[in-house]
Amino acid sequence: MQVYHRARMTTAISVKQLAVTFGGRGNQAAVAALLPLDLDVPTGRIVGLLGPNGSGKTTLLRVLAGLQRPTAGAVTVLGDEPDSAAAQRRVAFQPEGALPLGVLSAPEFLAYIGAELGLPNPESDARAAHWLDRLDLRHAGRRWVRTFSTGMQKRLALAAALLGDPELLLLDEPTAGLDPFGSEVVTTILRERAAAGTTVLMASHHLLEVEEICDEVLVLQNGAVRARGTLSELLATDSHAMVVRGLDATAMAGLADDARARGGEVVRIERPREHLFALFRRLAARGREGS
Amino acid sequence: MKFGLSARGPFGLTCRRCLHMGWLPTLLAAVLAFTLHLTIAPALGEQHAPGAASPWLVFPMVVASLTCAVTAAVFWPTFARGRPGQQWVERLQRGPLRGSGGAMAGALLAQWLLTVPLTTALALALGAPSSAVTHLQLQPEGQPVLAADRPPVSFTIRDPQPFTELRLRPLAGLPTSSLVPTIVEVFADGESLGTMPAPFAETRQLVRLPFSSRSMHRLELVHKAGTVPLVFVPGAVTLRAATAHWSLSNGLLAALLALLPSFVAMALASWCGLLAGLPTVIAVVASGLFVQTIVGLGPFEPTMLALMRGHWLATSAVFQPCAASLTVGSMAMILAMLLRRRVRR
Repeated sequence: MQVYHRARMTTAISVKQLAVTFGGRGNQAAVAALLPLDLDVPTGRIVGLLGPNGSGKTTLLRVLAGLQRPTAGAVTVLGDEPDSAAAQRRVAFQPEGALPLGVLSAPEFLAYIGAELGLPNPESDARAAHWLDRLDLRHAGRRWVRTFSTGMQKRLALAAALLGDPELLLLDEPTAGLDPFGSEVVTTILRERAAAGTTVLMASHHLLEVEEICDEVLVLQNGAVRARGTLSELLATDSHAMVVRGLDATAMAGLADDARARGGEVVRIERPREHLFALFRRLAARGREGS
Repeated sequence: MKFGLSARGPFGLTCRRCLHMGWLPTLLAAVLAFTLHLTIAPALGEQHAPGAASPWLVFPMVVASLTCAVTAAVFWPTFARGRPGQQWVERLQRGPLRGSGGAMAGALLAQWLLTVPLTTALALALGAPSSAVTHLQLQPEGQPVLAADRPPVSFTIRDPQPFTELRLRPLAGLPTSSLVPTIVEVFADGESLGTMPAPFAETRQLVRLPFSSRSMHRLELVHKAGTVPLVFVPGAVTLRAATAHWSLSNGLLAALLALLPSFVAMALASWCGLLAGLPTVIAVVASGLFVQTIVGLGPFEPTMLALMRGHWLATSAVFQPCAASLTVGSMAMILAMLLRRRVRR
């Protein structure tokens, strides 16, 4: 499948003084889900949305997807109102949780999504086949979606979000419940999409993953932005660290002494070991050969 | 790659799902109804009274409509609140009912396809006539009471097509003196058609007067003898037309009219589903169907009765309750659209 490189538009998401309040009718106490916040996301960026549960991440995504009307403020996505027909076609939203129409198979589910996006049937089927292959869902065959594992449902949800070749992807926990391979496939796809000009805003609790793929992060807490910036801006410190590999124990001890003598702190000296992911991949590959 | 998928929208997907879920229960109910009809059919005084078998037809019809309506409510995520994946559908479906309207239409088509064999084949198997005939119900012009000291009861026929039979089924009043059954003579456009074959002594006693095919503009019932006053309430005087219609078209029409209770039930459910979860929505669907089919508020029961009696439905009186059902269903749909617009965000 061809990924189209888009003509650059400078801002994908523009939010000004956005506030969302729930309740407040009758005896019900009003709950501020989002305090007035401003946000501009340039096109082609992958922005991570971090924050504890209840911090307003999902509410922000729902507003941007046109599913939640803001109490105050102005929001545009790709230059349109979030609930406009144009935005609905160009913006994809992958909400968290189960997929609808659980008694359909994966191809049937994607065919429904394609039809509602207005794709011609042959094109919809071709795109569906591409994403089912890419996300390793072909083997699911005619199985009902509701019998899928959490990881399979997540991958199918991403396939559905990508089916319309969106310019803006709003993802709520896209890798939650995925195994390391699934996560790797998803992050690779997101990077490819960003390189092709798609803007990605993803809420996640997987800090390592966010660190790995996001250009920028936004930290929300109690509905307010607590921090925002590129990873190097947010994570930089004044001190420097050195990672050394390939010395024997004696040379390493000497290096450590030298570091201490210069006022440095030796945090840890350890025997290098394989990364857990590499072990996982090796075992899985062995399993596949065996079968 | 081609998946060969024909159903892609809410209409097609729901129709397919309802057919999948509904065919077996409907078939089992039809077999059960037919078996029970054969084994415990009531012994009737009349030789042939197919109308008495209409409950056996109603039973599988209700099963089909209940299965389709409940399946639609369960299958389509925007029928009730808090369903899995509702956000996907709400975002993709831009119509005022978020796809529920298409899903309802799909369920209704599935129900129609499931019930057509019932209203055609099963109805014939239960004894419905092989052809359907217009039964024109007449309304009296003046006082509807026929007694010795009263003028004849007359009727004007606005559709002067050829008729072959007159059926009288009046209410009987208390005799004015000692009981003598009332004899009635019938005149068409001033010409006597003869005396009714049996005198009237009981209320709702059905007496038929066959005659050679003729059209008429005016009908008069004249009191000849007897002490039992007769009251010709609506439905008590019926003219049977000469032209016979194919029973298959009557069956197709009956299956169509039987969709109305389901439409009303699902429209009410889509309205309740704005604020209620799936169990409440299913309860609304089931109780809506129960009230309209079992209790008889709506066109379902009269339609099935008319079908079994061989009344041509296109000209029968069942359209009056149809209009009421259609109005209730349409109002519920409009209300659901308006409220959904307000409540959604």
